Amino acid sequence: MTFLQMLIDAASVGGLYALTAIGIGLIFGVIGLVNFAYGEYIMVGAYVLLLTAGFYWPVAVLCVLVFVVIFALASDWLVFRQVRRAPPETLMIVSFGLSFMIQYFYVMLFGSLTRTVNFLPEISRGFEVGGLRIAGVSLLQIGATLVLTAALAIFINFTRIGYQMRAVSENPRMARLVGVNSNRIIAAAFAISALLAVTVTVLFVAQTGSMTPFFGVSLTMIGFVATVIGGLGSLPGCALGGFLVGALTTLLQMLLPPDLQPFREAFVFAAVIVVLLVRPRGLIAVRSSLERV
Amino acid sequence: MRHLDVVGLTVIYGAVRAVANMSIHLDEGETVALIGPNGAGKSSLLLTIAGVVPARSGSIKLRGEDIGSASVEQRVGSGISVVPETRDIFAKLSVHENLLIGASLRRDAAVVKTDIDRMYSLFPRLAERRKQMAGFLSGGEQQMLAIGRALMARPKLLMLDEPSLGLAPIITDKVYETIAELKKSGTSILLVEQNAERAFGVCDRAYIIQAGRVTLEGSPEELAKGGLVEQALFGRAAAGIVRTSPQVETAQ
Ligand SMILES: Nc1ncnc2c1ncn2[C@@H]1O[C@H](COP(=O)(O)OP(=O)(O)O)[C@@H](O)[C@H]1O
Ligand SMILES: [Mg+2]
Repeated sequence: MTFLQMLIDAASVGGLYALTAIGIGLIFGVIGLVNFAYGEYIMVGAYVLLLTAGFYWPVAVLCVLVFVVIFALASDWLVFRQVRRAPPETLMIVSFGLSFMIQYFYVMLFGSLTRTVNFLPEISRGFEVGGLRIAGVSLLQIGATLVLTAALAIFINFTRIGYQMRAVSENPRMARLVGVNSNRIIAAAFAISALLAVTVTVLFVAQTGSMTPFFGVSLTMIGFVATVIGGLGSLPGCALGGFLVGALTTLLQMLLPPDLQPFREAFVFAAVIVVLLVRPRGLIAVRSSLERV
Repeated sequence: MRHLDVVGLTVIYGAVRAVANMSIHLDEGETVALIGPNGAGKSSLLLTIAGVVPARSGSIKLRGEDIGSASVEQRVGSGISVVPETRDIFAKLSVHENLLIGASLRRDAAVVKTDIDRMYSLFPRLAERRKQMAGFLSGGEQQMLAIGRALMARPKLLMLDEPSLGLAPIITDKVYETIAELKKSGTSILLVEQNAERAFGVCDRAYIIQAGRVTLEGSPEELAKGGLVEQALFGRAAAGIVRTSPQVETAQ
């Protein structure tokens, strides 16, 4: 494997992690919620994709999008809004509880077996360019990450909802005092984070063709690692963290002897601990709130 | 016509009774000052009227309508704006965005634009720094911005909490000039001050607030006569005039 090959792999894996991390980081930035249930947006989306995989693919993706956005908004309305002013620890535990509840509800309904689905097999097929093996889905992952990250940055920095979101993030009480409808702004943040989750779901399922009720959790754990490395609350930090974790995973995949491969994630988490020992606030110093990027 | 009528308002934080059965009112177009020492409950009163601090009991009426259970947003919508003591400008938003966000509930985009230009001519310092993050402004500029942001809502009742706090006298002059202008334009103003002299220069009526209660009320002339304010705020000799009230805890 050449260096270039590794770079492409790292960027495509890292792209998914970056999108996950940004989805988590956005909600944290706006309301200080570390949302463990984020993985469930991804997981639920995958099952909707499983059920709709027979449709023309844009229809299937649209179904996933509509369902996951509604699901995320409902999680805010029914659960998180009820504890809006609770301390961060409470919020985190509530999201933990919600995450488990959704997972086991799924196990109850559909069992915990791995499901496979053949979604857009064309794009996961690889092709060769100058000795490099590139899967179409890798390019999509890289492309989607770049486009969505840029779009989000523009949205947050240059739109009305964007500055209202930054205001709610910085000082929710003052935001209310100037008449900002903070519930609407927070709903917008949940919808955007759901959009990112849908992108991750679709690309992940297209790539791996399989899902379990627990795969959302493992992606989310890695997403958290990325946000923590990058600096929770800083969106560029989240993106950077995602790509770094992607690079690390790819590197470990190359370098670790086969019998250590199953423990790859342990090495990823060890790396996080090292990063945090050296830079306790993440690579980009933790900011308590969303800001211009 | 009565613009604001607060009757028997009580605000309690944990074990602290910040506002104790307080009643104040304000007529349409009137400028009323609330004067009192630190910890008297002035800010709590303002924030309760604005709707971000809950009242334990009592009623708040705006033009005869009870707004006690209205949301903050509804209160802003019915013309209440606050310039908080801590100013609370959005440090990470640009100066321009801070002004824009003051007009969050307005739908008349074109008029909002001309209002922003008006703010810039009122406070030229802000125009120079429109693109800068508001956190980089000086204290005086932040106060101007907080006032400008409140005005962007076109308030009918403007509440200012110690607008001269920590400002150089020359900037305080500018702030009070602005208040006088607003008063001329017919805006009702509820002004919290510790500096009675400043407040008397602009208000029609004042309440002296101590330990969560109104201890004196009158026109600036009445209050200035015979040093009533000084007696109320600092003097023991005033015990006969000022209704004594059980001291509430004041932790500051
Ligand atoms: N958020 C709060 N939590 C607990 N106590 C508070 C809070 N805000 C104010 N207080 C207390 O309420 C009393 C009145 O405070 P405040 O309304 O700020 O008075 P003032 O504005 O006249 O200085 C003080 O004793 C203060 O310590
Ligand atoms: Mg105060």
